[in-house]
Amino acid sequence: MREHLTPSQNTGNLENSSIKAVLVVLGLLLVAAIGSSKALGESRYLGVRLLAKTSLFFLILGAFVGPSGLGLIETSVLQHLSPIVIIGLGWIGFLYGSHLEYKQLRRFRSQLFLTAFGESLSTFVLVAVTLYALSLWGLLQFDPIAIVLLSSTAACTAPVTRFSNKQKEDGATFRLAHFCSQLDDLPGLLALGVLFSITPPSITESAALSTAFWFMVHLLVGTVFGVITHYLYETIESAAGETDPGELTLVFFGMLSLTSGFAAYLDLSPLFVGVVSGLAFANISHHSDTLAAALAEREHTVYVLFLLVSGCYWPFQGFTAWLPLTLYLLVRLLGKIGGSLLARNLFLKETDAEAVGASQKFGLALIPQGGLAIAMVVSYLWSFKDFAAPWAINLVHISVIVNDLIAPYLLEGFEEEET
Amino acid sequence: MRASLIIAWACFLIFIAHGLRRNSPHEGLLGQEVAMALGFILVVSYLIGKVFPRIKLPMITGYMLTGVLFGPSLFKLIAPQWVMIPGDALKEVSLLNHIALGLIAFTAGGELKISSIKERWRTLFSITFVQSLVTFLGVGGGLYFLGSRLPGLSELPPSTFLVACVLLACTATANSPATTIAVINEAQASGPLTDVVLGVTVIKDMIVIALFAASMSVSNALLDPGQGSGSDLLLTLSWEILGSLLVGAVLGKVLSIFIEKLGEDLPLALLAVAFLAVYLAEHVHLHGLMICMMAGFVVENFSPHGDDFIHAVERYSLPVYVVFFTLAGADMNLQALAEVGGVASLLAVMRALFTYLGTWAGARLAKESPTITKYSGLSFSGQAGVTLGFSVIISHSFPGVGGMLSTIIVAGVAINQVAGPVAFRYALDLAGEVSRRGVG
Repeated sequence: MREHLTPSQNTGNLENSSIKAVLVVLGLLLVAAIGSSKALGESRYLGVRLLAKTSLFFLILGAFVGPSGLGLIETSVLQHLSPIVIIGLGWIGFLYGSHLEYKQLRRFRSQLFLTAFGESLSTFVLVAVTLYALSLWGLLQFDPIAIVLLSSTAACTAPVTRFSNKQKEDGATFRLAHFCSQLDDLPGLLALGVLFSITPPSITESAALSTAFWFMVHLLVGTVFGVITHYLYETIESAAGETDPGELTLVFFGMLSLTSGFAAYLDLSPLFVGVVSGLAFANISHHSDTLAAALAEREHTVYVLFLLVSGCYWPFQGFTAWLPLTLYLLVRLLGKIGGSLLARNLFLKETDAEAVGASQKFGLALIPQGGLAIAMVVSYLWSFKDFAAPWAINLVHISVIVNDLIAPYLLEGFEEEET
Repeated sequence: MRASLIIAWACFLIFIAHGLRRNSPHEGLLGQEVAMALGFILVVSYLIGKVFPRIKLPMITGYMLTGVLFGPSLFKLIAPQWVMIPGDALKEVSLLNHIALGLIAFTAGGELKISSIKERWRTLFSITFVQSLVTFLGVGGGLYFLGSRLPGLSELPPSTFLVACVLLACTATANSPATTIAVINEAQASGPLTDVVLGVTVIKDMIVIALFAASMSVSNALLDPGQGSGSDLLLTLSWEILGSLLVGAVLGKVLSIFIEKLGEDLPLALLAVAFLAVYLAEHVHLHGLMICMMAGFVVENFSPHGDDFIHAVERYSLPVYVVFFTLAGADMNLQALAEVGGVASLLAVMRALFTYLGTWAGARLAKESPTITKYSGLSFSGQAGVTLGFSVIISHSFPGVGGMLSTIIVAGVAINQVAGPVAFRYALDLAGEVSRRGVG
């Protein structure tokens, strides 16, 4: 059984008033942060505006007030805020999975899928090999879990729509990049699912069989949740086929909390279970669009709270792995650009409709890493005490911030190229 | 049928989780338990509550029943393994009550329109004062005359017995703005009766605090004539009312300025402000509910952003009601109810009777319509936060008799909180003010 990061013996006796006091600090910060975020959103620098727009500002703020920063929120108190992380992980996973609707995806040709997965796997392998090499040369502590986790997060891409403007959305490069950015997180998520399946208590002598068993449990829990959510939706639907967005969000949020809590309780990954359930819901229910619209209104609130609390878990103090960080950033950049170029040339012909007019350098549009990478690494950090690589968390968090900051400048290049 | 299956599934899930973890350490699993408990409350309580309007009962009664059924209060006594919402997780989730109370009070204040108050000011003040007076005198007098036959009260010395009557009568005048606004919202009620009940409940919240201050002073003087007159307490509670109104007005003004700028962050900011207002108020002896009500009132009536504000608050109203009232049910002190059920029931009956009479007389004085005169008296039975707050103060202030009085008050609240929403919903039905969507 894995050990949990936060020492419960410290929190068990914690006075309720202390927790409240911390929550007050958090509340005050939240109010201040919202104001600051608005101010940053009006900055003349595009990168700074993006920090506010992508809400990463709240991640930084969380780190600033967390145990590694000012210590306003202590490690012992973080456990009381952990439901926010658990629910946030499930929420992010569900939203991602709900985009994977077979009915929509089958409209695309297999070559496009191969291009997206090719680009993703190239980045994954390139980052994994580099980190492995670094550990062989003694520049990094060898930690296979950290290597897999970092490679998975490297393969992730934020939705291109977040960084583009309408003018570019009509372009061929944008369309191709958008498609890839929607699918290239999948290999990393599967790897995360496998990581979480290795660690629960072994059920047989064979480690492979046990891993397969727990992986199937992930799939089963996620699928059942997706199916139940569908039934729940139909239960609250009126005879006229209408649903109240407030009711819909309530029951969805309840079901999500229940399932994410259940998954975390059994040492499963709430994020991966969320992805599977989103996928199941999208493919058995006709209501995924309605649900997505209802959730969109609350998405920002959940995401901001998730980032703020996740930031508190960021162990940035004493970080010295600048060389691995630089290499991680560069190799990821190389993987995205080179991998996308390779995959495009391998799987798409110049005459294919999807390739016509799309830039050879469309991988540049896949640089922003996004919230899913943060969710993956937080999911792992939160669950495993024996994760002996806090540097890995730093790598991912810093990388996400850097990549999201440079993304608009890279996308500006396309705009000029396409106009 | 589908709802029953989903509830069964949710119970099954919790059983499985606890079953699988039975033989492994539970340390460090609080976050997971809280997430599961919150999910269970939202899904199961909502589904159970949704059935209630079909039998002409308010949803919040269903939420409270869920809390009683699956929380620690009932099954802890008869079958601990059936407790779906464990005490530790419940304690953590109950931190949400601060947010819930703040948001409910925002709504209450936001629903109070100056135009509506102007139109009915005579009724509002007439009902508020006559009802408070009749309830206080009626319940106090009733207890005084029946007290010698009541277990617990009959053994008290005369001065202490008088104090008990005064304090119990005072707490009987208190209402629950949270329950009132929740029933109005869920029934999507609108009309004269709704306006009057809401207005009276909000105004009475202030009157009751003043009355409580006076009652405490009188009680102190009766029990210990050598002690000061209790003017300190009166001063403190005056500060509580005036300070809360002032802070609320400032908060409302600040919110009015920032509403436009906050954009999509408005709901998040309101959640944080609601929590802070209610929590911090407790620490400076202010009344969190009153602060938020006043803030809501100022935003609604003195800024152009009233609709945005209410819309943002209402976005979270349903989950807030589900969690708040389920926790109220789970927290219900059934043991206290069993111990002093007789006295508490008598208190509840007298309170309902005199509240009805007082409201009827107040409405008659104001020459109100027959609908309001006949039915509004049914609308003020709900009791919750403020009354429970009084019970804590009484328990601390009068070490001897305070504990027993507190138990009676808590048991009375349990009865009123079950009966109150039902009676109010019935009154709204009779007045024809439940909208078609709110019928369920």
